[in-house]
Amino acid sequence: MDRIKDKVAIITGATSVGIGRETALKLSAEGALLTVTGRNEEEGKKTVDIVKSQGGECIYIKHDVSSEKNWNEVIQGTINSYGSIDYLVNNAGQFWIKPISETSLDDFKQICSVNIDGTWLGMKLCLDKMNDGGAIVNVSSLMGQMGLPEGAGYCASKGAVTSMTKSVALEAAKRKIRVNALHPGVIWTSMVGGGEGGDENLKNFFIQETPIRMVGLPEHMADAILFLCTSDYITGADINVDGGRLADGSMGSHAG
Amino acid sequence: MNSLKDKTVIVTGGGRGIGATTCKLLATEGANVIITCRTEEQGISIEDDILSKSGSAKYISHDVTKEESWQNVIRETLKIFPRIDSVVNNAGSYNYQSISDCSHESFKSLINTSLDGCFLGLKYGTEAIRKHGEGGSIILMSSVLAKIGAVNMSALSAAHGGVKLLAKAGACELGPEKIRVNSIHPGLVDAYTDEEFKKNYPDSTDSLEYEKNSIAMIPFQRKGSSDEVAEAIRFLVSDESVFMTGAEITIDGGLVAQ
Repeated sequence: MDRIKDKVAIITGATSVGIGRETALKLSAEGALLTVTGRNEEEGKKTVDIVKSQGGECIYIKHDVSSEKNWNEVIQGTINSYGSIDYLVNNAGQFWIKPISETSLDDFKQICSVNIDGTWLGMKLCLDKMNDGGAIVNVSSLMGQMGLPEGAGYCASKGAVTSMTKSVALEAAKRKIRVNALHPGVIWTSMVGGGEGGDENLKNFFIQETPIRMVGLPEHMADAILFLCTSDYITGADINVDGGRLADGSMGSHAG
Repeated sequence: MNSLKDKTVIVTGGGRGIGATTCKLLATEGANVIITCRTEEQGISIEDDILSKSGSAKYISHDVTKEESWQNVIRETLKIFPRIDSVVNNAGSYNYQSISDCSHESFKSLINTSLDGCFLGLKYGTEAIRKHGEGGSIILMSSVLAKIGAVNMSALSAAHGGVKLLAKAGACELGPEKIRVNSIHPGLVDAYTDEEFKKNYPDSTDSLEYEKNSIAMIPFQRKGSSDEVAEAIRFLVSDESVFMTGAEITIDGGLVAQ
C-alpha cells in the first residue's frame, strides 16, 4: 500500500485520539512522511511514537493554529526535515455550543480564531511552499451547511471554512493544487462527548438520528482524507461524511 | 490491490466510456464485475479484456429502462455469483438541444434512460442487496448539471437534478439497512473520441464545439478522465466509504466552485 509514497503531509490537530491521529496512521501506512501538530506536546509525541512503531516517518511540532508564528515554525520544520510539502490537512478545530445571548464577543472571536484563522493561515502560508499537484483538505463540518441551536459561532466558523475552500481552490488551480472541504457528521470522538468511555446514551441518540444507524469513527474520516489527497480532478468540492444526516435534514431539529 | 475482494458489482453502461473504465478498475481491485449494456459486442469486449487479465467478469444484456431487464440481470448475476454487493448506475443518455428544439419525445427519452433507469437500479439493486441483509453500496451517476444550469441542457439538468435527490431519498430510506446511496457529479469528462460521440449522439454534435470552448472555463484547464471518475466509484463501492451515504462527489476540476 504505497498510494502516496514519500509524499510529505502536515496534519494539524493530531495530538489526541481522534481524526488527526487516525489520519496520521492512514497516510503513513500509504507511504507518506508526516509532520503532526497540536498544542499538547505529550500527546503529539505519542502520535509520533505510534506512527514510528508501525514503520512510518513522523515529527511533532508544537502548534497553535491561530498563531502565524507557529505556522511558520511548522512549515520551516517540515521543509528542514523532508525538503518539501505535498499535502496539508487542516484538521485542528474547536467545538462548543452556548446560547447566543450568553456568548460573549470574545467567545465568538475565539472559535473563529481557531477554526477560520487557523485554516486560512495554513492555506496562506503553505501554498507557496507546496509542490504543484499537491492537495489541501480542510476538515469543515456538516454544521457549515446547516443550523444548530446554540451553535452560531461554530456554524459560522465552519461555513467560512467551506466557503474559503472554494476561493482558494480557484486560486490554486493553476498549479494543479487541489483544495477541498470535508463535512463530517457525528464522529465519535471526545470533541462531541464520545470516544472511549463516552456516554452510551448520547451515542445511541446519535445512532438513531443518523440514517445509516451508526456514529462515524475517526478512520472513516481518514479514508476520506486519503481519497481527497489522491483524487487528481476533485477541487473546490465539499464532501459529506455523515451517514446521511444532511440528506435527511433532521439534525438541527433534534439538537439542543 | 484487493480493496473490493469478493464483492460483486453490477455496472450499467459498462460497455464503453466511464462504465468500461470502471469495470476494468473494479476487476483489478478484486471485484466480480457484471458488465451490462445494450450493445453485446462492446460488453463482450470488456468481459474478454478483464478475463484475459485474470479478473472476474460477465456481460449481461440490459436495457435499464425495462423492469424485466433488471429482473433478468439480477437473476443471471445470482446464477454466477453468490450475492450482489453494489450497483453502479452509470448508464445514461445525452441531449444538447435548446428548449425550443428539444421535442417532448426527446426530453422524455432522456429522462427515461437517465432518471427512470436510476430509479429501477435503486429499486432492484436494493432488492438484490436485501437478499443477504449485510448492506451494500448503490451509486447513481449524476452530473454537475444537477448543481448549475446550462444552455441547451434542459433535459440533462432535469434528469441529473432528479438523480441527485433520488440518491438522498434512497440514503434516508435505506440507511437503516446499511445500504448506502451516493451520487457522483462529473463535469466534462474525456470519455469518448469525437467520432464515437458523433456516432452515438448524432443530434447533439453541436456540443463538441461547445465542450472545446468550455475547457477554458474549467479552473484546471482540462477535461477529467474516465480513470478519475472510476476511482471515485471504486472508493464509494469499497468499505473505505462505509460512513458515507446521501453524499455527492463532484469531480469537475473546480468548474462549479466558481
